[in-house]
Amino acid sequence: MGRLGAVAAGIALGLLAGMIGLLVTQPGPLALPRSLAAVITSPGLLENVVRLAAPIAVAGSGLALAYRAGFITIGSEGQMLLASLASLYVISYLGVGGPGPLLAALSVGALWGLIPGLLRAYAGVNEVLSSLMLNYIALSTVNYLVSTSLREGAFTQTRFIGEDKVLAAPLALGIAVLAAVGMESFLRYTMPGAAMQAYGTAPRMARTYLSTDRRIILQAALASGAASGLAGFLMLTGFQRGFTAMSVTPGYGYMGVLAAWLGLKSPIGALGAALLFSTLATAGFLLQPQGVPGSMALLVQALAVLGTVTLVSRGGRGWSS
Amino acid sequence: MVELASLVTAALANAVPLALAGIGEALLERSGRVNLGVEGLMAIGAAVGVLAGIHLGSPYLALLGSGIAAAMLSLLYVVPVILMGADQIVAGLALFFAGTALADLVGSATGGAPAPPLDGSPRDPIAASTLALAAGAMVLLYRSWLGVEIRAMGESEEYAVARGLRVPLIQGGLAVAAAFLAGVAGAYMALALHNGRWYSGITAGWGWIALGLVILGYWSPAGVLLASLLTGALLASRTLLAAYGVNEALADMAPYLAVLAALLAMSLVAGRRVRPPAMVWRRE
Repeated sequence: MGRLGAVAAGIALGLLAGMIGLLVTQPGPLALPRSLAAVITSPGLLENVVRLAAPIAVAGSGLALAYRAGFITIGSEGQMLLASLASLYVISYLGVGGPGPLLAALSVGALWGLIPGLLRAYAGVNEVLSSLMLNYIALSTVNYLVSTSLREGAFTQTRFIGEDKVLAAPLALGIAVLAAVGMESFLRYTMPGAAMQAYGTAPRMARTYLSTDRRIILQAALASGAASGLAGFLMLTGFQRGFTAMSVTPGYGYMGVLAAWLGLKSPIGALGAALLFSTLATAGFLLQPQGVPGSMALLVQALAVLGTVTLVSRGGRGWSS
Repeated sequence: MVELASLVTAALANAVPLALAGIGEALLERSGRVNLGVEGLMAIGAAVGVLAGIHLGSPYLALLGSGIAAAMLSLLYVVPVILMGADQIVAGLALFFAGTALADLVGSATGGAPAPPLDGSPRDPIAASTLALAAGAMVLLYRSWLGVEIRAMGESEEYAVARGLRVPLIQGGLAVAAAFLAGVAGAYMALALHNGRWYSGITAGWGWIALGLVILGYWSPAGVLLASLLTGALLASRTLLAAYGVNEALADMAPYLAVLAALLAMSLVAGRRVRPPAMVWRRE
């Protein structure tokens, strides 16, 4: 089976599992294809799909880059959250427009993403665990700021950005496509990109001929962090608009992780996976009034990824395969 | 003011789920496999535990049900990874997401109703069982024929194959057993630490903390138990911090920050000279 065949089979498997899941709950298995069709045929819902897909795609593209280099971070969730809050601060509290909020998001995402990179490069701390811990630390930080200095009004919530600051859906999609194509070209056609890819698959060769361990790891950490920062900006200006206190993180960064793997660690592939995921999530949203919990979409996504990697990466067992 | 006795009780109660999940994972990692899906397994354990508790009425039957549910869910890791050779890191992450999502589906069926809770005191039979588990795992790993093979297999799968050991059987068995323990751990969190009520996100990253504790405990069941006790105390000090007027959100952050710092400290002190006993965390 080819690699694309494996992806198609994985997605089919995920959808099938979702339909079996719906068999148990109220609306029945045919509700899934029905709501998917409803999403695809409605222009208003498609706009939703695009707004949701943009941050997932950008985060997923950056993660694909890092995974190619064998840097298995899952810190996109926390990076997006903090970057999103940073751009909210610049827009609604400082009143700065133009590139200001974007730059704030990029730098906060990159800095938060750099931490697991530094920990791995200089101390050998495993980045899966450190980036996960940093997600929870980011969540607490946002909750702290929401309940203290950024609090606005009687409820524990921040200011919300105005309607006029919300990004148009085509623009969000354009940014996501540009970012994915840019990162794909970086991987394919530049020396640092080639070094990153080589480090993931043939570390000794990469070390001898192309770069050093530390430089590759830090580059991967910075690039994926900056991408998650951009994703945080797209999340805020696309649909989030402001924050309340949260008990769990929103989960779009985690969807980026799944998109990167379903897209076979290719930025363009992650873009495609993100569009699929956001279509699924929107379809799941339609099913919520019928008693289907929103996490059904995440279940389908996770199973699609599991099916795909099972069919595609036979024999791989390491940290970089 | 917060009483010392209640702090100690809370610390021990917190240590129980961490140790249960951590010891299972430590055994699995010694055999050369890592399952990053512990958090998802604990999440499903918590949801099934509350639901089963409501319907069965007994917290102990609920713990058993949670263990079985998590063990069944772990087949999503065992079949692709151990039988079909899929990437264990991605499969573990996918299991985390699948478990979390499935837990929301199961947990929302509880409708916020409480299950009969466990009291979470040190006299609880679960606390004693956790101690027994740690002791048993030590004996299994260091004083039994099977333990020698598990450790050898974690060092070199080629050796194990040459010896004619059934590597997939042992690794698969350990993965399912570890998942059972993680499921019980999740249910214990819901029944003993949260008064039998389920809410989304109830496991709060403790599955990931348990994965960190495996490293801090240096892949030894006794070490994991010790690390769990220390982390349990840290998690309990949250109420103490709150009593001293520390912001609640900042107090929430403390345990994650501490585990991160401990991982860093351990990597700096031991990482360069001593290599992990199991090949699974070693990277070229």
